[in-house]
Order: sequence, then C-alpha cells, then structure tokens
Amino acid sequence: MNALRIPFNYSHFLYDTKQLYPFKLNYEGFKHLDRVVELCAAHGIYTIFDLHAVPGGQNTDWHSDSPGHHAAFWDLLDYQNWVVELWKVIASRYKNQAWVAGYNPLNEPTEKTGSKLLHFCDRVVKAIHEVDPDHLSKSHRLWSSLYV
Amino acid sequence: MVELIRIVFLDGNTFGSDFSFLSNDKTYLWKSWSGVVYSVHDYCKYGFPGLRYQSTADNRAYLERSLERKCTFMRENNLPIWNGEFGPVYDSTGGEKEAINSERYQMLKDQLSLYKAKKIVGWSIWTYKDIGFQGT
Repeated sequence: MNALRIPFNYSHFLYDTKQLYPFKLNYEGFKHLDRVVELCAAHGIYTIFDLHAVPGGQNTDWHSDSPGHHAAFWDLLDYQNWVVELWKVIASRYKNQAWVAGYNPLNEPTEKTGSKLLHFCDRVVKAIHEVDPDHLSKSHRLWSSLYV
Repeated sequence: MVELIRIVFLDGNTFGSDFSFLSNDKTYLWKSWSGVVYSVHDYCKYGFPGLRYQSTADNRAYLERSLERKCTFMRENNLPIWNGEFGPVYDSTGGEKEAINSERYQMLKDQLSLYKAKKIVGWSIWTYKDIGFQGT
C-alpha cells in the first residue's frame, strides 16, 4: 500500500454555516492534516485528501453531515463557492509537498439534476489546477504515469 | 517534455456510482480537464448483513457487473478509474461470525483480483481503522 485516503470534515476549516459573510478560513484546521501528511511521508506513503462533508451536506446520508436526508449543499451557491475557495487554499498550501498525491474534492455526492454537480466539478478542477499546475517532480512518477 | 499535474479524483454521482452527469453533458466539459481520475465506490451488497458470499462463478460475475456498471463512461472514453472507497463490514456478534467473516474476506480477495484484471488504477479500502462500525 503506498497511498492513504484521508477523509476530513469542512468544519475543521470553515466556521459555522449560519454565518454567511464574510468568508473566513480557520487555519488551525491544518494542524492535523499537516501532521498526517508528514507522518505518512516519513513512511513513504502518499496522501489523498478526501473532503467528506461540506456545508449543507452534499448527499442525503448522515456521513456528509447533511441536516436530514437532504443534500442542502446544492441549494445554496455560497456553500459551493466556499468549498471552491477552501480547495484553492488547500492546493496552494500543499503545492510543494510531493507526498500529497492528489485531491478528492467531494465525497459521494447525490445531486438530482447532474448539472449542478457537473459545474461544481468543473469549477473545482480548474481552481485547483490554476493554483497548482505543475506539481509532481519527476521523482514521483507513480501517479503521473497514469497520464503520460 | 512531459507535463505533470496534480491529480483530482472526482467521485461519481449517487455515492460514487454514476457518471451520467458527464456523459449527458453535450458541451463535453470533461474534455477541458486534465489530471482527473474518476472515482467509483465499489461497495457490494454481499459485504453487508443479510447476504452470504460463496465465491461461486455467479457471485464473481456479479462483482464484475457491479463494478462495470459504474465504469461505463470511463470505459467508453478510455479514462482512468480509481476505487476510492469500498469494503465489507464484519460480524462481531452472531454465532456464525467466523464463517461470515471468512466469506467476506474471500469476497474482498475476489474484488482485489478483479481490480487487478480490470486495470483499475488503484483502490482505497474503507476503512483502515475500525472505530466500531465495521465490526471487529
């Protein structure tokens, strides 16, 4: 095994969803994520970040912290905006960390139309790559070999 | 010059099973992306309470169908597939728990052979740390 998927909740990084404005990020949340990344790196293990719960809940199950069988993340564009901003901050922070293999920006969505999910994916893929385009050094070919 | 890019793993809709949100998009937004791997969550009904797994030919064919129906978009477009979350739960309380668990371990073995054969680029089991919900 050479990679671990690390699930985490938006609430480490974003404040109470009842506070809509202004967007604020809690940098204290990185304390645990940094620790896990470094611990894994020390053992030659890549990490893949998994955002498992987002504001409002991205699916109808309990594990996205959805308020009750309803994926409210898709109802309010600001929830999606915050998550795109969060991923830009994350991608920027770990830009030079070779042991972070990649990002899984939204765990198990359930989105009835498909179209909101499509646009969210488009935004988040482009936002991450804008911040962190050429990440992997040549010595970490394992994941890059998927593409080239 | 090889362009290396940070990988973004995108989960399918409906808990990592359905990529019709991409195949139905006639603007082909996905073609403008690079560094994306498509992630399924290949949980199997035989890994949960109520069903027994016997590793018969039919059982193994079911595993394959169950995986492939989640992967049609990626197969059609020759795109990489990652199994980001899967795994059985284990029985810790019943009288038949040893038999049930060894069947589930066998199912896991069959799934892992399947992923190797079907060129799934990687997998990540749920979960490496049991806090009491996967059984013992």
